[in-house]
Amino acid sequence: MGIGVAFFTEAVGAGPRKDMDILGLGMADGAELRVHPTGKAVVRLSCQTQGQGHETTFAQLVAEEIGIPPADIEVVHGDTDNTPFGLGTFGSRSTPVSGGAAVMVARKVRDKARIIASGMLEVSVADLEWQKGSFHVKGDPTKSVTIQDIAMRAHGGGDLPEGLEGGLEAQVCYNPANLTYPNGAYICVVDIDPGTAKVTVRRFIAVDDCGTRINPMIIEGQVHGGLTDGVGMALMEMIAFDEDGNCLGASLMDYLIPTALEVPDWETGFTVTPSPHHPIGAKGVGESATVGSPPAIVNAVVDALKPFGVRHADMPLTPSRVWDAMQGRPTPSF
Amino acid sequence: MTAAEDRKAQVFEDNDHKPVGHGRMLRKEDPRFLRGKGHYVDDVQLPGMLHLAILRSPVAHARIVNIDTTAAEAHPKVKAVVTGAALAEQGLAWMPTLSNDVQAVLATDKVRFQGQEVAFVVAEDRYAARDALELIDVEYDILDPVIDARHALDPSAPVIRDDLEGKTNNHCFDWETGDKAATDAVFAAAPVVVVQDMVYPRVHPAPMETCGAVADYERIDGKLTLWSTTQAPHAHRTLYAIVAGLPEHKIRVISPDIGGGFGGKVPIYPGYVCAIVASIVTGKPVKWMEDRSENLISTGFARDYVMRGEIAATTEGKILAIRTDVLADHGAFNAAATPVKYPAGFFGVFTGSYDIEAAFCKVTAVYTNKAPGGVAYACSIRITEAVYLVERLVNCLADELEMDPTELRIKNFIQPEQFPYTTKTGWVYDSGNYEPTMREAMRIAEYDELRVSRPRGARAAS
Repeated sequence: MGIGVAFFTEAVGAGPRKDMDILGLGMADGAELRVHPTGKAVVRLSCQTQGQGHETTFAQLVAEEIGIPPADIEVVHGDTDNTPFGLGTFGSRSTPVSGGAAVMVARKVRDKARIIASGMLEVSVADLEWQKGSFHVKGDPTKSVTIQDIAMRAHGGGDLPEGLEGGLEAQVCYNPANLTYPNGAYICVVDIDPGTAKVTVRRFIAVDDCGTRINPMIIEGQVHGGLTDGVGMALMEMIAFDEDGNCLGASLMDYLIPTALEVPDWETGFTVTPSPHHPIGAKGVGESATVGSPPAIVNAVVDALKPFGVRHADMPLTPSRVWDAMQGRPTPSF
Repeated sequence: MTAAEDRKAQVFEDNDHKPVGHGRMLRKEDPRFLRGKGHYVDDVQLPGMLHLAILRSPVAHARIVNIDTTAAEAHPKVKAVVTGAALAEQGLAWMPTLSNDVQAVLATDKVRFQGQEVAFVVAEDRYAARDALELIDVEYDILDPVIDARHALDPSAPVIRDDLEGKTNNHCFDWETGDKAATDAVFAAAPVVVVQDMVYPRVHPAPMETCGAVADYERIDGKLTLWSTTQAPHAHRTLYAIVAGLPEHKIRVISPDIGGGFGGKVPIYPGYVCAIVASIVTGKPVKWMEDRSENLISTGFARDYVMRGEIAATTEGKILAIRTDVLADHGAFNAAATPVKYPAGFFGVFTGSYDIEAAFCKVTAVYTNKAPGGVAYACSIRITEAVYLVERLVNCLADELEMDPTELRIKNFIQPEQFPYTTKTGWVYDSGNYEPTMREAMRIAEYDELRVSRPRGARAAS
């Protein structure tokens, strides 16, 4: 049995554009939000989901700001003809950068909604108070208009405050002030079969701090997936080559990836330290677990092998490599 | 708080109780996926669509002597066979990579890794396209390959990138960060120094959905629609405009449902470009989908860092400095998807979560006869390697000092009042409160009891 500990700090959400570009394209992202007359909305993003639930997370980000239920917000992405420009989804940058864009565009729409509401309630904008989903007159909650009422007025035949265009929509390009720095503490417990040198992950505790949490279920899903990846890298996965340059990992029979059978029940927890510069204090979490778990697992294996005088062994810690380490043989170079 | 406690604290039965804003709610996209109604690139079917298959190099390093395509062209269902020589006539045999290198779309002079794209066939169906690949006869003059990055810079190593003018070795780039003199001075005076060599091996994102594209070039209005497995549709469109000389407003990149990316769908692969060329040549929509083996041998790998880490500390366990020397294997072309100013990605965060006096890192990147890539697989742009390095080093130090690894970490954490904290390699950490996070993990693990329960002594590894 061995116990391994790791504590990671990541830097995710590239830009800002002045420091970061890919072939001259600055690392910022756009968002466009349109509220339809009946108060349903469509938000268009430059990033692209690959399974991590953007259609939910981004609907929730906008919902939180303008009080339209997530079910009433359509998320459009992955089509250059129908979305604003931006650098896309990689390096855990969707929430830090596109998420920032979605929040800022929703706030821009809310600012316009406030002006329309002031006309509808015949008070100045300063006398209005926002309560998620509606504006009411300060001190008189009975005098209020919902975001849906405002949307209809924005597209309707009635008067709008002077100088205001019709419609309820906005567009932004969000250039992050800095990266966000999610972090976490991981503890791994492994057992090693002394007869076969097979490593089994008995327990894995992952406490992640990704700042403000938008949808905890999606975050846990990201963490579970990343931890599984980590077990793969630490114990199973390698693209190896023979001396002639033949790839020895050219099929999933040769390149082993973990399944539910190789991983324990994940024990996850969290702390919340908001990012000071992100509009809602969120930090990217897509890669946290993949980054943090391999050293925790290797540290646990090395801890278990201490009685054999082992100080280090290289990934992937397959039974043959662990057996070699137990016999005092060095890890093969490739 | 644990996730289990958090779940109990929030209503989470169905979407009738969903929050208006942040909070637990079921995913809006899942009914589509669970009912088999996801729509991926391979689900795109267009009238008259042709299919493309790629002939790949069976060897890691060889000069191409001759390619005979006559038999393949005679196949009754084949519409076109294209080689590197044909692409070269259009100036399309090479394309820029995301790291300002170039990469062969189809090999013209040499093949430089096993699985490299050599020619493609466009046929009426997928099977015919695959069959016709067998009819292409390529004569190779086999060269010695460079496989072990540790020998890539040997004077006797064959030069892989002789396509680059004046290139006489396999050096890709050098990159340094931190203060070498200050770090060396701290190390020279440090009471405890621990050195550890470690390898982060080459791994692959292996997403459930492999890479692919459907290109549809409309000759009359000159509009190209490209469905492709990309995590960055806008960046790709701009690059296609630059590479292929097509006007940007005439290109539409559609990235439908994507079956996992993990960074592996950031680069532009030769297959996407081949599909575009094939559609322009034939005037028909063309689909290319790679199989699992093609995905594993040719698309963006991750890691492949050979690292020497050194950590300096006091005998009481105050970490003073970290120093590292890295040999980075970039494969045959430097196609890492990383911001231009950061050729080694964000590896500069190798100082970890600790408040130290000095740090220095040198990365030497080399070319080898392996697939290109480098930044992929959920790595936060090389932070995976950096975190592995520092967290193994800190553990080695704990072993050396016979200290508990949590105690050593807590003793060296950057303190909450130090944020924003500028590291010795220039990263401005925006926020953090590390000790409570560490203690929460210890609480859930019942760490103290766990430590005591651990059997010790010889032959107690189980």
